[in-house]
Formats: sequence, C-alpha cells, structure tokens
Amino acid sequence: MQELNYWEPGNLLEAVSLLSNLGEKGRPLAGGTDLLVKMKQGPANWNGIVNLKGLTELKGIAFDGQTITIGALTRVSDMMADSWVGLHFPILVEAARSLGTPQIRNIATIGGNLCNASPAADVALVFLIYEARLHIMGPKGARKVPVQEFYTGPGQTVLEPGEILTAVEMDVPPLNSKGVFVKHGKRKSHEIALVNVAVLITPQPGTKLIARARIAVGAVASTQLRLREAEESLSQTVVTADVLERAAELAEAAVNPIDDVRSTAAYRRQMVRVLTKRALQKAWGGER
Amino acid sequence: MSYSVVGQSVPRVDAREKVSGSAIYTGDMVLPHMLVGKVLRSPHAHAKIISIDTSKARSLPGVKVVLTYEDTPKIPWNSAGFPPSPGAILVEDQYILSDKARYVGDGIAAVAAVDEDTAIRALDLIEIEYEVLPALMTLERAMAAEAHLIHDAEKNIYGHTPVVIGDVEAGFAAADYVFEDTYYVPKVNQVSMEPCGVALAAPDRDGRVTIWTSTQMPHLVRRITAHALGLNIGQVRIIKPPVGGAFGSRLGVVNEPIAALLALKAGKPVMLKYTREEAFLATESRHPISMTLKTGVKKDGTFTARQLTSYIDGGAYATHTPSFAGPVAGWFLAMYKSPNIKVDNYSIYTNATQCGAFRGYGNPQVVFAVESQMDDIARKLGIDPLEFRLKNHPCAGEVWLWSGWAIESCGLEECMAKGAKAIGWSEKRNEGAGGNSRVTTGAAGTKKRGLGMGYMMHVSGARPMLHETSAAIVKINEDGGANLIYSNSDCGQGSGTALTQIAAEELGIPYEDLVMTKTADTDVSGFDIGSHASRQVYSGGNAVKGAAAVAKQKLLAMAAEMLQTPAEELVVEEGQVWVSHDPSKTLSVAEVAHAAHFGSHGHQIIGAISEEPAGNPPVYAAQFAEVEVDTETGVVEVLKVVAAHDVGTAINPAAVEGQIQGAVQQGIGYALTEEYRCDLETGRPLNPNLADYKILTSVDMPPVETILVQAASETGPFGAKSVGESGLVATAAAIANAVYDAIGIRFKELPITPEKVLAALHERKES
Repeated sequence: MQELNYWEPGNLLEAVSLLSNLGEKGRPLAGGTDLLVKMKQGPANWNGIVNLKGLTELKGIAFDGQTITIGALTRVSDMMADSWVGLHFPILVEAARSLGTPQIRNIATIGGNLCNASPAADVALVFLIYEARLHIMGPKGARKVPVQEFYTGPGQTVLEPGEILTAVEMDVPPLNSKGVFVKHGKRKSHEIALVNVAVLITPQPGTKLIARARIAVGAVASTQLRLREAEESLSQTVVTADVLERAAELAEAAVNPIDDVRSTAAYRRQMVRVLTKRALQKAWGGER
Repeated sequence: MSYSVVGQSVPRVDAREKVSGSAIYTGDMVLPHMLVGKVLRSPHAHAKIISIDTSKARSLPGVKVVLTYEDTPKIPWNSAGFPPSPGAILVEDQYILSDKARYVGDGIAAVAAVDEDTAIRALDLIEIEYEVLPALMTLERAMAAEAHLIHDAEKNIYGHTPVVIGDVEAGFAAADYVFEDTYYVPKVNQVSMEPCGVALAAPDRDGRVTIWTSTQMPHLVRRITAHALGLNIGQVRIIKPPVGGAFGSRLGVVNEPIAALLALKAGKPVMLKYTREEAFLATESRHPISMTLKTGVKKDGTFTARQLTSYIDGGAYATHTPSFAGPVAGWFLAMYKSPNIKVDNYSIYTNATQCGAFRGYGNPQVVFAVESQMDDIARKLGIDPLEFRLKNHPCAGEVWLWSGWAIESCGLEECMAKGAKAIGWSEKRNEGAGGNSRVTTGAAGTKKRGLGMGYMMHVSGARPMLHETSAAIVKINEDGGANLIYSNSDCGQGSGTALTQIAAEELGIPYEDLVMTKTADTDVSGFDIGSHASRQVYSGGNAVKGAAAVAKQKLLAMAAEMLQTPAEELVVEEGQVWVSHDPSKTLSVAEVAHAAHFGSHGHQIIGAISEEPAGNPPVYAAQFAEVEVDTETGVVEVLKVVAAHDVGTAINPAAVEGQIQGAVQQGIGYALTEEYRCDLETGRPLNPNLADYKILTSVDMPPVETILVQAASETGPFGAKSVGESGLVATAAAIANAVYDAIGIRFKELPITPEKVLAALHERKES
C-alpha cells in the first residue's frame, strides 16, 4: 500500500496547474471506471489523484447546426440520451450501448474513454470515423488534435503532463452517409471487444458509387486504427461482393493483433476481415 | 393425490427480505471491537518457504495478530464436507496456513487488524523468501516420472478408484463396433453472487468460538473446524445466515478455520471476507478431467462393454478428489446397461487451486463425454438417438448401479417424448452427417442450425456412499401455529420454502402458520448433513415430514380426548380437526393447542426426529438444444433449450423451474464460454475476475422451456425426488451434439469457443 494524495480543483486552470506540478506522478480522475480498477490492482508509479468531477465547464453537449461539441466529462449515458447525437451520429450511440453495463455507462465519461487509450474502446473507435477533433488545455495553453493523431500506444496518448482533454468536436457527416458499428465478443453484454469495427460510407449523389468510405478497427493493434488502404480501395467504386471482399482483405492485412487471455492473434485477424465485410455490407445495404 | 400446499408455487419464505435488500448476510454483520482479517497469498505456484519475517507487520500500529504456519495447530485436516462414511476417503494434507506454497494463492500468512487498510498494509510488510520450484500445471507434467512431489507422497498420482464388472476385453471382442474417444473438460468456477469465503468468528470467555459463515453445511463445518483447531465439537458454534448462492463452492470448510484462529489469538471478533479474486484464487471449483471412453456395441445398439479411464486434476490439495472419483465412476456406470464395465479413475495433484464440489459433482463432466460419444454411436448405427437411449438406460424396478438399489420411478420416456416435441426434433434435426440438408441462414448461408440432445440421471442424496442424516423438530404453539426447527442450509435454492410446505402439509395447518428457522444454528438444531447431492427436499424433507407426523399424532391424540372420538377417525387439514364421518364434530388446531398448553395436561405438542431416508431415488432428464453456428466467426448461438426433467413430485413447481433455468445458464456457460485459465509455465491465473471469466448475462440467455415430469418416488416426502443439481448436467452435451448436427464437427473439449470452431472449420476445408 502506498501514500495517495487527492485534490478536487475548483476550475480548469487549477486542475492544469495541479497536474503539471505532479507530472508523471499525477492522474486525473473523471468517471473512475478504469482508474479505480487499476488502483485496486496494486501499486502504481503515481500517487496523486486530481478529481475533475467538479469542473462543470467540461460537461454538456452543444450543437451549432454543423459541429457538435461534447464536453469531456459528459457521461456516456448522457451522450446516449442527447437528441442531436442520436440524429447525426447514431453509431456513437450504438457503440455506447455496448460499453460495459448500464451502471458503468452512468459513471464513465467520454473523455475517460478516449484518454484511457484502450485499443478495445468502443465509443472512442467511432470518433475515429467521424474524424473528431480533441480540445486539449495545458500549461502552455489550448490546442486541438485530430483523434487519429491522439494515440501513441496502449494506454498512451499525446497528452503532456498537465494537459487535460476538455472536449470532443465533430462535424455532421455528409448527407446520406451511413455508419455501422460492430462489436465482437464472447457474450452480448459486460463485454470487452475482441475486435470492434466502425465504418461510415458516403455515397456519390446521383450515382451508384461510393464517394468515400471510412473504416476503423479496434483491439487489433497497439492503438485503434483507421484503415486507409481499405478505404481507398472503395472510393469512387461501384459496390460488388468482390469489392467489399477486397477491402476486407486489405483491412486484415493492415492489422497487427496479439494473443492474450481474451483471444488469439490469428482469430482476431480473421475477424477483422469478416466483420469489416459485414459492416460494409450492412452500411451499403442492398437498395442503393 | 391432491394436497393443500404441496405442489403449489407459494412465495418463498425468504422472498421479502431478499428482494427488498434487507436480508443480512454474513458479510453485512458488524460486532463491537470487530477486527478485519486478511490472508497473504503465495505469488508462486510451487515454492519452498525459506524464511518468513513478520516483525515489521507485527509492529505496525493497529495490527493485532499475525499468523504463519508456525502459529497453526499441527493437525492436518481435509476441507471436504463429508460425514465419516464408507465412501469418504479423506486424505488430510492441509493446515490452516501452509508450510509450502502449492498454488498461486495458497494462504501463507494471515493478519487481523483494526481495519482493512491496516490489514492490507500489514500483508505488504511480511517478508518471505521463497525457493521457487517447477509449476506442475498440467496432468502430464504432474504425472511425469521425474516430477517434483507436491506433497510428501510417493507420487503426484495419489488415488486410484477401480471398478470392474464382468470382462470388458471379452465384451470388446464380442462387439460389432468399438468406439474410443478422449474428452477434456476445463476448470470452471461456481461464481456465486456472494463471493465464496465469508466468515465472522467471535470468541467468548468460556473458550468457545461462534462463527457466522456463508456455508452449505453448518454441522460438518463445525466438525472440521473444531478438528483443525484442536477443539471439541462443543467449543465451536456455527451460525448460517442467508447465503448468496453456493453451487457446491461452500461444500465443506472454506476460511472458517483461519477466521477462528485469528479471533482466538486476538480475543476479539474477526471478519474474514474474500474478494471475488480470492474466491477464484483460493476456493474450490469444478474438476478438470481427461476422460477416455471405450465402448463396444452390437449393430442393434446393445452394449457389450463400456470403459472409462479418467485422470482427475484435483489441484494442490486432496479435499474432495479421491472421494469424488467414486461418484465419477458411479455416474458413468449407472447411465447405461452393459454386462461388462470397467472404470479406472486416477486422482492427481497439480499446482492449481484445489478442486471440490460444483453442482453436479462430476456428472456434467461424465455426461458430456458419454453423451457426445452416444451421439456418434447412434449416428454410426443409424439408430435414432432417442430410441438408442431408451433402449439402454436403466428403468424403474431395475437396480441402479450408482446406489445398488432398485429404481423407484422413471419418467425418462415422457421427458424424451415431451422434450422432443417442444424442440421440434423430428422436423428440425438434420439427419445423418451429409451437411447438405442443414438449415442455413444469414448472408450466403453462412449460419448453420442444428439440434442436439443429452440425457442424464442424478441422485437424491449420496446414500449409501455417504450418510444422509437429517433432524427436525416441529412444535405447535398455543395459537395453533407451529415452528419448524431445522438446520436450514438453504443457500438460495429455495429448499427452506419446500420444507416449510412439506411440514405444513403433513401437519395439516396453513403454510403461512408455520415458521421455519431460516438461520441454521448448530447450538439449536439437530445434526444435519447440509446442502449437497441435491438432498435437501428428499432427505431433509423426510425428516421434516416425520417430525410433523409425530406432532400430528400427538395433536390428534389430544383432539381425540377433547372430541371423545378415537384418534384414527380424525382428520386434520388447513388448521381444522374433524371427525371423518361426522364433520360437524370439529375443533381448530388452535383450540387443541391451547388446551394442550393450558388445559389439564400442561404440555406443548412437539414432534422430533433424526433419521436417514430410506433410499436414494434417481432423477432423469432429457435436455434438447437448438444452435446456430456462424461459420465465418465460429460463434455458437444457442437459440433454444428444452429441459425435460423427472423430479418426482414437484413440491413447489415455480422453485423447481427456477432451479432448472438457473442451472441451464451455468450449463451453457460450461459448453461455450467458461474456463478458469492460468499461465501454464508460472501457474498465475489469467482470468480471476468477472470481466475475463465469462459467465452468461441475462441478455445472452436463449428461451429455456422447462417441462416437469412427476414420476413420484416411493420413499420421498409426498413422492419428491430432487432437482438441485440436475439442470446443468446434460446441457453441454446437448449443445455439443447440436453443434455436430449443424456443422458435422465433433468437439471433444469444452468450452466450444469461436476460436476452436473456426479453426476446426478451416482444418476440415483444407483436408
């Protein structure tokens, strides 16, 4: 057992200041659904907790008709209930519904899901295909980072000591875009993804072509991945079974999973192909 | 036969306290000056302890007691909750704290401190030097000639249970076909909602210790705990409050001796509450077994010889294992008739957590193997699987080899017929192994459906292998209500409710007027074996019914005097006594009881009994599963389960169905998702938590249709047999057979994971 210091800052600047002083020894606490589990698992190399829950400026959702901004401290369940999110970003809600359990969703925050940087995170994966931008505040001021540049490894992000994720913003995708989120696990609830896949397909108006496809996969590399080659193979193409199969094969080739207690690398690799194909089929539908 | 309350789905006696959250479990209790206990566990699977230094821990403020092996009584014991009986082989190889680390999680030291934080801090301050030995995590490594010895025994193979009936070699020679297959089943955990291992021990000034504990067997825990501590039976009092599920995990001593020793040394109450992780790490779970089955059969489906050779991984301590090998043989040899049968079961030490009882006690393991092979044999012979089983199973009137006694009743044929109809057996099953006729769904036919079934028999107690003593007292109060005093080891299954119904029915008073001792207390109730072997309603029920019958006899004698009519002409029902041929001559039970207490006699009407039941009537079940296999992901989805069970008379049908439904959930987990795994090199557990140990959730459950067949027993109370364990015994076999029906691949190892299914599909494609 080790000593633990605990703070409840009253505003964002105080939180930034506390965390920069603590450096590597500090951890911000949001929902706590990951941090408290890690604390129980034994001694860590940090000993200071900065509880962000009092920072009301980091909570809530704003929409201006084009861009939605979700405060980092927004609880997953509150995001799921937001009507703008439901209307314009439905697969974010779908992914959120598969995160943990109702009790966890009532505590866990959007920012926590991103900053925990789990390669298997469900909600964070969907931000990749909506090309979200992350608002970060730190001792040197504010900056914005595209979510695809946020992760550096499992549990690792570009956040510097003292930096706090404050919000996530996303633009409404082009009209008629269709997204799909697929999570593969051993059971239907209380599950951590063996593989998860999110796709967003935007059709070329007035044609049978795909204008643009976005594909993101989780739990199959050290960070969540956008699969650019597979996406490129679909752009400006007419959808056929072969085209989707080819994209799924490119997806499989791009991942680098590991063996662990939850599954094997070989199985995960195959699932990337199967689930990418299925997600694309479902997103494209049969009727276009 | 019509009854007033037997056969009614009355509300459970503990329903209100459970659903309102007001039930007080052991872990909820607080006593003045109570300390908190914690156990220091070995990080190594196999290691000698070179030295232990507890001085820093002892000097930490707030720490009251630090114990190691040096401080424990040098009395070896065995944690399994067995009464001394012919079938109890109790190898005593445990101490309250260990002298050597034999698995990751083995208890090496224990502390009691003023609060949990201090206790945890004290554990960190205990310094231990280990000499790490090779971890023997597999049967092969433990059995190897050069293997390190886990105990001071000649070999790590420490038990052999042979059975020989006839001559199997002659039988195989006479067979038209001989099938030989090896099956493997993994370790799975009971995962009761209240983690296993909660005890609160309080010493008093008279040299006694009272232990509130979450247990299935108060009297046997009293016996073993007293022995381990070197105390007399009278110095230990066990109280069993409500228990949050057990499923066998609490079938014997768990952590009562550690809690009691800490409390006795501290002179204060000590609460020792295991976490979920500790329940995985350090308490008993289901035995992994490697089973080789060899079966000789004639073309007409008659068996000529059946042979089982099994290697039972008992883990680091013997506990149940050598005794458990007996029922493992029993389940196998009693399922199907054959003139020649041979069994060789070997008990093996490994460096895994010790194994013990888990709902079914070896039967789910055996039935998975036997019923998988039966499916293959039926297919090879071209015989319908249902007919094949009906041709070979033992029937009413025949001797059941498990007990050696005649079978009292058999409802299997009805279970088969009703179950088959409910699942759509004749319409939906893909006959033969061709694969073309299989129902497919999904895009491009990637999902294939199939049907399978499994049959099983189970016990209603453990006689004659073990004693099945129960005791009950029924006392009729002055207002006509009654108390039932019984060592109620209901751990959630609802047996307390069924026993209350039995007592009320026999006594002839309304169910609501009878109050049972919901809390078992060894200072109060007579000796009872506890909850094991699905015995509570059969064995406990007979004692309860007997005590009520004695009380009723006395009640009627009193009423006879009051009504001036011979007692044999009187009837008592629903709280009223009347003359059978003249119902106008009547008295309420209240009037009789009042007269007994305060009339000329001055006595309370009390019936008491302690006895063993006369038999051990087996139950039967046929379970059916429909599955859909996703051939691209390997996922097996169970679409429906039909569980047709002959339980004898269902005392409380809703409770019986609840038992079957809950068991099926565990059975599906056993088939598809559950496996407690460890690193094979270090022995470190990989999934001692509910995130990575996959029990099924409510949304994973398919519709489960239960069918109750009530072939009444001769010796059970009102014809009851049993249901506690049987609901999961045949489930994994039914699912494995359904998977075969869907994709034509036989899985001989559980769980049938998506990874295994996909690999097998690819292998077949390549070959």
